[in-house]
Amino acid sequence: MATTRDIYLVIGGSGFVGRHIVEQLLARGDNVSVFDIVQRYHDVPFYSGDISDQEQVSTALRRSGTTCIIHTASPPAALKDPALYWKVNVDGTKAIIAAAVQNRVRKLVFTSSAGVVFNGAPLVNMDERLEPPEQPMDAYNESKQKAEEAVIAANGIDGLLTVALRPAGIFGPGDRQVMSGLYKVYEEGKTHFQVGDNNNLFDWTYVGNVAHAHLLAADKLDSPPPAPPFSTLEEFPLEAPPLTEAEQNILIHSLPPLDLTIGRHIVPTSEARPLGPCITPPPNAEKLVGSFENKRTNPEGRPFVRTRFDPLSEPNLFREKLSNPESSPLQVAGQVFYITNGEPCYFWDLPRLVWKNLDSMFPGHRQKRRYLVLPASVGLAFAVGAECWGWLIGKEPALTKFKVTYSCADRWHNIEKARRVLGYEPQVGLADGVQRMVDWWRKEYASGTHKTAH
Amino acid sequence: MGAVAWLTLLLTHPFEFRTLLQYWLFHEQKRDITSMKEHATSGWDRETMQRCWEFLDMTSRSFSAVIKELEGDLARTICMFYLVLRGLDTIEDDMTIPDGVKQPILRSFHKLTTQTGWTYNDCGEKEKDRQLLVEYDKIVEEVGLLDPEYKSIILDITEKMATGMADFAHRAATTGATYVEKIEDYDLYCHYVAGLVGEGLSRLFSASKKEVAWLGHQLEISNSMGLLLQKTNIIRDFREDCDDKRFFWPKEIWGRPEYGGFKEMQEMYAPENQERAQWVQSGMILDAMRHLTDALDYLRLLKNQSVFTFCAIPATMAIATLELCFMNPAMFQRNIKIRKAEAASLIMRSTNPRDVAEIFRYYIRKIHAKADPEDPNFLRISVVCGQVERWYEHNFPSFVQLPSSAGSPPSFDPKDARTTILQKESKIDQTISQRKIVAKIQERAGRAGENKVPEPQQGVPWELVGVVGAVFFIILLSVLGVVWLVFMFSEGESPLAAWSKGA
Repeated sequence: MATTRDIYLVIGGSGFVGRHIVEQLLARGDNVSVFDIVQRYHDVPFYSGDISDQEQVSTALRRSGTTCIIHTASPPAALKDPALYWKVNVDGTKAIIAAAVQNRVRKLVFTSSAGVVFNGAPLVNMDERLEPPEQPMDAYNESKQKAEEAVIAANGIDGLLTVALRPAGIFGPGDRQVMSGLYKVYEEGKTHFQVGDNNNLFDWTYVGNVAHAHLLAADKLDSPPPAPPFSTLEEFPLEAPPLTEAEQNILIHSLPPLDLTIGRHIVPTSEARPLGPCITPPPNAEKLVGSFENKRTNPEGRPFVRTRFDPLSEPNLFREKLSNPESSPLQVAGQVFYITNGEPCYFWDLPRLVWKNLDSMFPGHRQKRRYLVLPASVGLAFAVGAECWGWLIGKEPALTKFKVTYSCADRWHNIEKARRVLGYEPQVGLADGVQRMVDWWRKEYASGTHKTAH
Repeated sequence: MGAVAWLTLLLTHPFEFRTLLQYWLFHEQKRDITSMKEHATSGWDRETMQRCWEFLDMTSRSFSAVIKELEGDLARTICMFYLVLRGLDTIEDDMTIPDGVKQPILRSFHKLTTQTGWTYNDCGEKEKDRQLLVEYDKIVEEVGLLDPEYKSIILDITEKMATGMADFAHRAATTGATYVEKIEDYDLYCHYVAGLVGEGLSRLFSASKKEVAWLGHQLEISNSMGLLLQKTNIIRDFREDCDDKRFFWPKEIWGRPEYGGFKEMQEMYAPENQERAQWVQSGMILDAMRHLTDALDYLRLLKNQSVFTFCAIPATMAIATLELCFMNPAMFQRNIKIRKAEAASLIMRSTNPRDVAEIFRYYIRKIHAKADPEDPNFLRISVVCGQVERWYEHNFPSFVQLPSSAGSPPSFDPKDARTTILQKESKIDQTISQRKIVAKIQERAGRAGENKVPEPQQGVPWELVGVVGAVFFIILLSVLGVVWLVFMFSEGESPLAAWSKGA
């Protein structure tokens, strides 16, 4: 926790992720304002403006007395105008950085995207070492990547501390992309289609967990590095220096299991167990039960092995320190972090759960049908055909190469760095998150406001 | 199998025939415990120990061969451990023994196992292993001949198991409580009858020095391994146990409202309840599957080949059995088991951690392929399968392509993004090497500078030496690159010494 309370400005605070961040900041009693183009809520000071206009951002920063910016503003990912992405994501982010430096704001937390490194190739157990591709998948991800680059490059300028978070597959209440997309498929009766064999894992992140990660990042941005960055040393080391005590503390402590969805169960052992239907309590009964109950909140870690491929193994940390000497890889400032629920599941499973929940809202709308499975190669061929046809008749095709690639590729991440350095642990599990999203959607639908989203 | 059975199999299941034929031809017993050179450790020269080996064959038809493969005196030790526990289990299982008689026997079984000449002749006629107890004096004698450290481990585990079994048996007999209520009690029962076996075996492996000393302290994962095996059997034996009026499934799972709120376990095999019973089945299998990554963690720690095989075979059998049971209504009507050919295939393939992990991944994907979105556990099944996938990719990343010929370095899938990371790291390593070269050249240049003042003519040879040195290091860099790849392969393939609390 920061020694003095930060004053927050959430840029994009009327949006999906931004709103959850605002609510969590309010819930813990923080001073927070919002900068956006549209005001949807009236519980915090609001500043209207264009983020690519540095002067408007500066005005908001001065008036609110901001010490920490959380920048979540971004156009939705499915627009057709690449120039808008660039204007908001790249020019806007640069304007925010310039305004922050100008007004001596100390902290900047940026919402990047896990998609910045995706180019169609599978991302299996992906960690932060992978650099963005030379050929981005699309304009949206390219603009997010450029923005992230600018944010990280700004770390240290006139005392500004920056960090970028890369959430994957954000869903939850307030979402107007995932839920409305799934509802559209449901409405059109296409839920029985499947492209690919559904053996590819996909990472989702409940929006409340994304917001939680932002608060952790903001709080820890000014933590000192556990080891001095190489740029501060008198001489560049050519051999890996031994890990400092602070580094070892970060790397060695046991992490709790990621078990929100499947539930936490404690394995009984001969040194820690409940008594059960015992007749004569053993002499060490109290200790047995105490140790067992203690595991509920302090679960025992597993013996973990760091292989050569592990991003947090000593040789790889050394490589990271050399290639980025201005920052320590186990520091928050100047770093990027993947944020997920830590519960990757097969690609089509979460959509199917959502559709199953919609069945209770619309009984009889959907008949039980066998899945129509298209292999990835066939799907890709159809997509190419559909895109050619769409180009000929000037209409957006329903099936695209991107959608097929997206549906068939593994896209899941190693969040150990976020867990160890930020102390991030997901707070809401996948199944619970789906329930909350569907419940929210149900209310929106009943009140008729869902139509305004289309 | 007889000739007619083989012929029938050939005609009806030709692929299974092929697998079993391969198993019969090539899967050879490596160790002959009857041979004279093995007598010192196998005890075959003693009539009592011969009888014990016979009991092992009788009571553990499928697994006795695997026990006999264990090295040194481990085979005999674990044979005795198995027989002691089988004796204990036979008494616990026997419903014809009144509770008043059963309790003192169970609670003192660890002492009776050291009481010369003790036998028990009052097991019910139907108990198929009763003969073991009629001749238990032979087990007592052979346990007495074990290494004292082995003996104390076996007796300690026996005492803990017997006490737990007696507590559960007493509750069933005296309170009339038919069902296990809570998952916690279900886990505790499985700990008593199987988790403790995992603990005991781990301590025996450590005591034999064939595995590291701290393996015996990994209680969480050794218990989890035991619980996986026991829960698999409890799930599969549902119908057989119900028919015998023995109920092990926890009501906290099968009585859940989201599954239809069953009141009695027998309701689950009524045809009209088939779908709801399958949700219960899915819930039970989900509970067992959360032990899968613990089992893989445990197997990853083992170094000795015969110990690994001994532990891996039951684990792969368990995951195959869970897949067989998943969304299988036949399980509620009769006892089901995996086919012999599948079992033979698993036995032949359960030889190293990577292959075992691959077997696990194969079966969880088959489980997932049968998952039904209507099942209340649908997403939970997906997430628990994802856990196994994550374990696999963390420990044996799939982008490393093993060489087809021995001695060749591995290659890396060019389509996988992780290969890009490796390439980036390779460049960083080159930068490090170049800096070292530059540092050495500067060091030599410094010396050359010193020598240049008194004797200017000798400056030229030193510069030449520097250049030659640089060329040498560039060549060395290439060699190091190759060595690095090979080292990376060997590092990634073999289990590293794992960090543990004991270290």
